[in-house]
Amino acid sequence: MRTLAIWSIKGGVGKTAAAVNIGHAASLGGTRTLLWDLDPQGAASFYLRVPAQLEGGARVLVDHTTDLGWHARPTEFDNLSLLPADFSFRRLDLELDATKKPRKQIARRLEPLAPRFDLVIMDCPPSVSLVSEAVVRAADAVLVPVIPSTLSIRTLEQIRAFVAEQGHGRTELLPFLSMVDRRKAMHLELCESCLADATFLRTVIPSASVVERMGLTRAPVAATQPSQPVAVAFAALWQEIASKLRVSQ
Amino acid sequence: MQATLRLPKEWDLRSLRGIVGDDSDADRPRTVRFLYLDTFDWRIASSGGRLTEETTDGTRALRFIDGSGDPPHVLPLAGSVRFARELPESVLRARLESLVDIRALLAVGECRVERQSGRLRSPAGDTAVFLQLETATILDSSGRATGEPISTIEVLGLPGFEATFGSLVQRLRALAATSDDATSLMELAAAARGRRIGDYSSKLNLELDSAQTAESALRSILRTLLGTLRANVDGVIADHDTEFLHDFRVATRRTRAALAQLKGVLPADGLKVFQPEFRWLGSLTNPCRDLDVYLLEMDGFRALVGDSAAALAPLQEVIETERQLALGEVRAGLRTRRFQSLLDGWQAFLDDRAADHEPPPNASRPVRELASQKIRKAYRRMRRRGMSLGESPPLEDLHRLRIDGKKLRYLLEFFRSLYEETEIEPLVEQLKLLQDILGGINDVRVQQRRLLEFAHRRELAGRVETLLAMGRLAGALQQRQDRLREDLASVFPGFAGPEGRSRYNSLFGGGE
Repeated sequence: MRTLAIWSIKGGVGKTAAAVNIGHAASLGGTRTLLWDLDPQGAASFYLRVPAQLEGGARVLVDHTTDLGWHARPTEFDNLSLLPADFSFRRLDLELDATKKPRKQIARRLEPLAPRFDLVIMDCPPSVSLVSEAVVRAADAVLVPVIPSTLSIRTLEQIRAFVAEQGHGRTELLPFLSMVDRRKAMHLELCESCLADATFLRTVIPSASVVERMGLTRAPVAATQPSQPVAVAFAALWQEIASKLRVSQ
Repeated sequence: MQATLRLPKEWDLRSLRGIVGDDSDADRPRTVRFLYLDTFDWRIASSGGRLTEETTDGTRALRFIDGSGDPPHVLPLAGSVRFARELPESVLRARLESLVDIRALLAVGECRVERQSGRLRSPAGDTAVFLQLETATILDSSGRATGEPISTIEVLGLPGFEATFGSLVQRLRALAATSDDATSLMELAAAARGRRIGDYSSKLNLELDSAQTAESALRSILRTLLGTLRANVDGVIADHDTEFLHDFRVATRRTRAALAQLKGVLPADGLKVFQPEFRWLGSLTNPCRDLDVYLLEMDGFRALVGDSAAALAPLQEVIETERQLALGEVRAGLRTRRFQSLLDGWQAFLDDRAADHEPPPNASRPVRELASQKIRKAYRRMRRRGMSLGESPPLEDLHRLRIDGKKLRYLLEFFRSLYEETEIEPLVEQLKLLQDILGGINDVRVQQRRLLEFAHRRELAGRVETLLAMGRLAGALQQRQDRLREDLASVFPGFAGPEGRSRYNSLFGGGE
């Protein structure tokens, strides 16, 4: 089982859209995928038509007597399950802090899922917290959406330092360009300079109204409009990630 | 929360909306061709699982349901798949490999299905219930439709939506002629190909009766073994996987062991004809099986030689070529009149109870009495031989001990149903462990000998790296054999010591 965290300090960078669309792309290829919605806003759960409620709330995430897999819900897409968010996750930091080794909790909770899933994608809340520390530590790779703006690029440097520290050198950082508007000269300019950095994934996710419409369709883009460029881009992005994570396709 | 209901015949997919209400969100119907896959001995079905290869709109996928209520695994396929190990590394491959091991996935049934998926939404737009309506036409092995189409609806309720699920199922059940799905489609599809789930197992499942005479029990054992022989012939010839030949050989060996050890039960003049024929069958299949074992071990061998693994490729080629030739011999043998008349003659002999000759001396003895006597004798023989072995016995002596063990094991397996399960099972298990060790020692002996033969092959002449890797392999095998010898020294006393002896004596009598 490989684990991928999708995280950014900044909000509004296309994080949840990436989590849902990449999870769907992976599942289409036969990768048994669990999307773990750790964000109390529950947007990923909403997109996949699962109520953002977890019986037992945030406590379940630190309770080692229950198997997280029991809470996984099937979605309408083959191979794609979802571990729903819960509004109580806003207190997840406190719950984690009350445990003995808070930074190891997420990794420990993931272990029993290995015989059931090929891939776990964690959609993390946009903040620097104990939760993000524990997630980075547990993940094989952290996928970071970067929109082409100076602020966003500056944030990436902070993230790089954070992942290096919390991931103990075992967690790979995979930044990718998100919500790119090719009509904007500045976007194109910044894209070019980002792609000069070899750590960036090569696939660029365009800004697209069909992604915004996911709130209405409540489905991954490829499920409703598979030929849209952004759907194709998410599939290509997943291929790149899969080869980095060595997931068979 | 899951329910599968059989729907009335006259319903078609358009009825779906009518039953479940207008809130349902239905996909367009698709025609799917289903191939049910399982091993010849039903390893998937007997675990409660179901594996299908599904083709729809020109795309092919493997779908596995494990029966635990987990959602299905679906894996897109480029071509058909025969062995679980050919699948890409994944949870699905691991699951299937642990179920089917080295057995091939064979088509055991086929149907054409009109499938429509749908779902009920909650007022908030969340998915409450998944629905799948299927109308299946079962096809026989030549692809012709058989019987009336069968419609089923599968309802899967999601946690938190128990009431929605309950009322939908209630509405469906209230309809006339709706019934719970008793016979699965897979069973019906298998039946259309003349198969029944669980109709073959490589295990010898005999139910003998203590009151039976030795003759009737032996006839029934031998008939079962003949059934196993016949069941495997086509699979050996088609070479689906190595286990057909293996099971075929085990049935041959068991037959020979039964005849050799249970003398005086069946007319001796008849046996005189058949015993040499079964010996022929054994020697016909020996070379192919040896090479099969070699190839099955190849992964293990590569691991043993570490970074020289790649250098073993030419050796593998040599073995594969030779195996193909050996298989050709087996196929030719099984197509001969000699083999056919062996099967037919043997069947006639087993069915013929005409007592136009003096009944053999042991024929009318109660079977349990004869079984106990033979098991006692076989145990004593093996025990005596094992105890007489010195510190590091020659391989030839260990080979003889293994043969003694085989005879004892076959007797225990033939007659286990005559004894209390809790008493005989531990003895079978103990002997199995012992035989695994002795078998392992013998395998190394055979493999080392073959390795030396292969090293002289013209194809490998001058292939220095391969020959060196084979040398490393021979060394590693020697170490394996040494370890097995140590295992034997620690396991044998439990079998032959006072405790083992008293267990055999108390169950099978004796001590005389």
